[in-house]
Amino acid sequence: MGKKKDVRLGLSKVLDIPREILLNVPKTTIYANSEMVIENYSGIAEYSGNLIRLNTTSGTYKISGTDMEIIEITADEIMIKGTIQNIEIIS
Amino acid sequence: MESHNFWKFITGYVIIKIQGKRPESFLNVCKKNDLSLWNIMNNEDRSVSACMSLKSVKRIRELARKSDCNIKFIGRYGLPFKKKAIIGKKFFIAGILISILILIISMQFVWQVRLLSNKRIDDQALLIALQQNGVKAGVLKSKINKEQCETNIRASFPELTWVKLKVTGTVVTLEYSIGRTPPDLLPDHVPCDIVARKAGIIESVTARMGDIKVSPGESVEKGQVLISGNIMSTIPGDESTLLETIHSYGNVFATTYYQANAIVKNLDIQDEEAAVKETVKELQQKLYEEIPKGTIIKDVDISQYKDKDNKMNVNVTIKCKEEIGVTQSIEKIESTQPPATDTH
Repeated sequence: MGKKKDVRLGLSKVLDIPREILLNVPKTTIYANSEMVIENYSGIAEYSGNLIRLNTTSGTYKISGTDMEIIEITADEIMIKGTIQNIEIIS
Repeated sequence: MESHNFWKFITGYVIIKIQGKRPESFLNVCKKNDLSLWNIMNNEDRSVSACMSLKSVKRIRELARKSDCNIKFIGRYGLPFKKKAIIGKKFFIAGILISILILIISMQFVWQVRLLSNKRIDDQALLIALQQNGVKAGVLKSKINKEQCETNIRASFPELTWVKLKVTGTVVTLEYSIGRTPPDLLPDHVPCDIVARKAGIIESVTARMGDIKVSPGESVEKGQVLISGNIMSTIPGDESTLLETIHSYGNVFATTYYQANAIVKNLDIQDEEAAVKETVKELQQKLYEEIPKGTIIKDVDISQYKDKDNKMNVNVTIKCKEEIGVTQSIEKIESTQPPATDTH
């Protein structure tokens, strides 16, 4: 598995293909502290107004803040809105 | 997300309330099954409410069982739910149908007649001619007989060389073009001279019949005889005797000048060059219209000068090579005596 991943990483670097497509690694986009889009997440572990925990292939994302809500979930994208105060990645 | 709202309204969506130990698991199951949810909100009683498209609602029972959650519907929105209400409004539906009907009916008529051509002839006469052929605003499109109309108009306006009637939408366009009228040719048996149509300097003269009166390099006036059809006697001392009159013909090429000048209009100090250019362009266009077809343009000369009133003038001279000979009939005489010797 590790070897396969290395090959893919090399391939994406050589061919300039975005890594999140080939390697299925999460990609996070944050708009100020109010909005957050995470691609390639694998599941929601916990959801409440001030804490969201997401499972990804590279560990757990722990997002805390206030008045947080999930705006949309699709098969490979999740969008969070609210006042984000802390992002922690536990791998 | 906002941009999708309209589409979501068209397709319809429901608001569901997810109750259970772990509402997150329902969200994960949805994700795994490729269903999207939006506006997922936390309620105070640890339940979660979310919006779901109508399409995915069909599978909700299966998903709820998988995730061990209870699902409650708390609202439904969108067009599919309003079907009944809309169908109930008879006059609304009737209005839509009537407006579509009016549109379709009005599309069957001609609303406007347009004329399109390279050169203008009397528009009013053409429009009247079209009207007589049944083409005018307010006529049914299907009643127009295009070919018949084209033929009739061609016949009644001989100066038109090409006519095309086009029906595009509710507009009928008559495209026509005006050609050059052929020169008046004298029949072969009428005796004639060849005279200059325009002043110029002769370049070459070729006579197939008739007496050459000019030589290359000579400048001629308008109307001057170039090739004469009057055949004179060549016997010395008898040169003034007219032997016979013939239909002369030949080619006379000459260098001619077309010239025009004008005062430059809208002369601004700032944009003098552009103003001059525009005037020159206008003059040139005017001259090119004057120059007959088949003329070789040798040189275009543009000059500008100031006249007495200190106004800017431009002068455009176009130097051409063209055939200047035209026929002009002459009085016919019966040959009184047969030519004694071969005159040519």
